[in-house]
Amino acid sequence: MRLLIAAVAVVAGGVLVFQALDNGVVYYRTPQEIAQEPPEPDDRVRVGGLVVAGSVHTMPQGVSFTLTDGVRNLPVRHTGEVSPVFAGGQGAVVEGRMDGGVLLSDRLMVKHSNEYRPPVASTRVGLTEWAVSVGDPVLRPGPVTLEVTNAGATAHDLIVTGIGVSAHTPVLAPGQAATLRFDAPSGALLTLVCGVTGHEPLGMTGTLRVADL
Amino acid sequence: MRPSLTGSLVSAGAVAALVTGLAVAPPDAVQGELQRLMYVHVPAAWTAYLCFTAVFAAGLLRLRHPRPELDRIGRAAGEVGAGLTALAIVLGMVWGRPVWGVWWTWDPRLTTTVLMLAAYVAYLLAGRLAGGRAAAIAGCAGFLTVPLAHGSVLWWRALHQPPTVLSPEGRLPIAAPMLAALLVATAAFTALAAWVVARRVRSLAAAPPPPLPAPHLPAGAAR
Repeated sequence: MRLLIAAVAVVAGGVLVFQALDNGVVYYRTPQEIAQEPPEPDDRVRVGGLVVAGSVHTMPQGVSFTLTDGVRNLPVRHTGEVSPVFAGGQGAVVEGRMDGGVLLSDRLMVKHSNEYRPPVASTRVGLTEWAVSVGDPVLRPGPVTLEVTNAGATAHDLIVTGIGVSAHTPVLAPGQAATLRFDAPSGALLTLVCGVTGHEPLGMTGTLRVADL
Repeated sequence: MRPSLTGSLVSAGAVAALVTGLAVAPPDAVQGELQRLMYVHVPAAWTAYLCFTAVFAAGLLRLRHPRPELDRIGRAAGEVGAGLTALAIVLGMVWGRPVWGVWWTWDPRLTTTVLMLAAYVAYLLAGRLAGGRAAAIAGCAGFLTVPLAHGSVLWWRALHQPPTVLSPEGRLPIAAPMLAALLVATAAFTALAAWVVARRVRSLAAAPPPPLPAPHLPAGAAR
């Protein structure tokens, strides 16, 4: 009987603790919540979200990028250390304070996914109006193959540049495909653009990372 | 000393885990070689959960049928589990520094894992200071930190990624050789922990029982 009472007390206590945690624990806020309930200028906030691909720019002592929750975007200027794993297109949590709609961050944490896979030696690249789509974001160092397809309605080509890399396909008619082979140096960041005049500013750019192994 | 069969099997498992984790599994696309820390961090956390399950089971049985063997099993599992929890935390910090960019942050998974370590320490202290029955109650209550730590990344916003293998989605977002290395390492850790716990139970049985707290004798009883 006493055991039963103790068990009930423990479970009840556990449920209470869980409720308290569930209501009280908000490890980070989202850009939408920041926009709806702006913090005081001197309040320290922690915001999490997805780093918008292509929004990352290096600054003298850090990086600037846009954090999104899919509803609202929050511009971030981070001063301080940046993890080598940090990249656009994946999650991040930042700490700092708001200044005129911009989050001035001094602590940047990379939220990596629960996916684990080796870097690939071959991936597909799609060219459309107006985007360069990449199948896998990270390549294996060494000889690699890009299967490039023009899935658009007008002519495109693909130019790949990076430190030690310069490769391009011929201009591809809609529906045409080409294979691009080159040596990917370890740790390189490759820029992918369409070289047809005017297509790059319309959005036909992308990046591929080479694993640093 | 003659090597025991179980000891040899456990050692073989450790060697198999080393080979699969270091040689068979490829480096990760995003994290590179650092991702190999998963093959020790995850098994350490898993066996820490298992040890608390043993503490819980031994505690429940002991509350019904108080027997010193159950206290010894609980205490041995508690000691090994506390060490494994600390190991999981330290390995997590070593992994978090280069990948997340920080040694520590009070995210729900890290916080609840510290709670779990505190529950282990409270359980062991209760056993030393207040005897087996109090320890069993503390151990059963403390076991609640295990589902809390495991569920934290599913229920709340966290920096720590959600589980890969024990994910509720039912798909495995991990390459086959990496999954093999993780499973071999987890099996090896489980076998090693079970072996160490069994040996500790035997050594506790051989040692004289710890001195009980001095009884409060009524005044004048010594005369």
